[in-house]
Amino acid sequence: MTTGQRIDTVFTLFVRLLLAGIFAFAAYMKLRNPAAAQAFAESIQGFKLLDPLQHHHLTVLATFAVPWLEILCAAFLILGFWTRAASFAMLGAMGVFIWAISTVIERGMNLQCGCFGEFSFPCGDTIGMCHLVRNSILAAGCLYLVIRGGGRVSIDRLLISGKPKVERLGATPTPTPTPTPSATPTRPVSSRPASDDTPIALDPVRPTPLSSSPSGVDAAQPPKPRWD
Amino acid sequence: MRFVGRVALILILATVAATVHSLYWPIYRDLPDRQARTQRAPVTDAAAQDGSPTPTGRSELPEHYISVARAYQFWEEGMPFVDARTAAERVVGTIDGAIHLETRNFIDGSATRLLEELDRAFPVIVFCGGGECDASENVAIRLSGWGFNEIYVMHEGYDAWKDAGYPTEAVGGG
Repeated sequence: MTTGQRIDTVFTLFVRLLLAGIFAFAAYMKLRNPAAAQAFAESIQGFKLLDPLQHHHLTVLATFAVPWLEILCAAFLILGFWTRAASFAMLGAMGVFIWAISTVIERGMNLQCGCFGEFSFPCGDTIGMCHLVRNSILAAGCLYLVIRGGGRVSIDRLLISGKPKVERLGATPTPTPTPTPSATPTRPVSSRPASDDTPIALDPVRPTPLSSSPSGVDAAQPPKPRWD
Repeated sequence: MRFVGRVALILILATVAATVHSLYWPIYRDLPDRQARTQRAPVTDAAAQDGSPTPTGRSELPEHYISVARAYQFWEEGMPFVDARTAAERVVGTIDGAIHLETRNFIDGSATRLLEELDRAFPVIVFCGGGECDASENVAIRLSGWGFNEIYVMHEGYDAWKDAGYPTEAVGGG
């Protein structure tokens, strides 16, 4: 693993855990007791996007669905399991929050966010541009994970790279059909891009030890690990 | 396709968990909703006899909403007033003798000491800034949970009280 890949691995892990921590904290502040849940429901009502008389059931659903979505996504992000799906779900939620906050600012309303319960750091009590920026930063983090995936330290990676992991340990790989050396251009190993969720596998055009080796490759030598 | 399925499954799980959770923790729409679902009988004999508004039922304007003039009558009788505005909103002043209680005080438990000093047998009047302010209604819901049976919301808010020339005081005493 190169230094760049190490930095990338650590950064992705950091983003995952940071977002998971923030979402878990937000969910805890909304659901730590019935009064907190009632306060969050009142915050949702305060946005006046739903008619409280006709759509109270939707307010109730949103009151509990938002923190439960945060809890589930936080758990998935900590484990690195279904990272892209969990990040995408939270990205969608962030989109809704950003839209709702924008309408509040546009309407000039003076109400409390309730995003983190009664905890309002670093933004103040009243909804404003700070809340918009904060949610945009969280959305950017989610988008990064949607694009990048869970990284090397994740269950996603373990599930995907189970078989090639043997190859990284230096065991003999499965034989592959040997192309004619003269017809197949040799490709530098380092030219292949490294992707977090892409399994590490031997280059298919590379001659394998079990094949007859007209090009003079020593069959007793195991292939060298590519990136480790 | 697998990605979409995973996202959908996460959303379904959250919805199911939310539905189950909502069965255990009721969410009240407003004060009459809370009183109706907890089957509290808030009508006092005195309120019924003098025709003053009571906190039951619904109409165009909820019946527990009272005007500034009616609130002033309660103030002259020495009934407690609860200011539900935030500290930032209170800098312009408050009703003379009003207690400051926000929603957050009920969540973190800091409301307990103040509420224990109030007599639940008397009416309590809650107010906020008026207009689209929901804070007084939200605090009224919680007061109902604390055993106060006769709760009124001065829906026109502090600004209307001040404009009417009724007694006010600077925040922090004085």
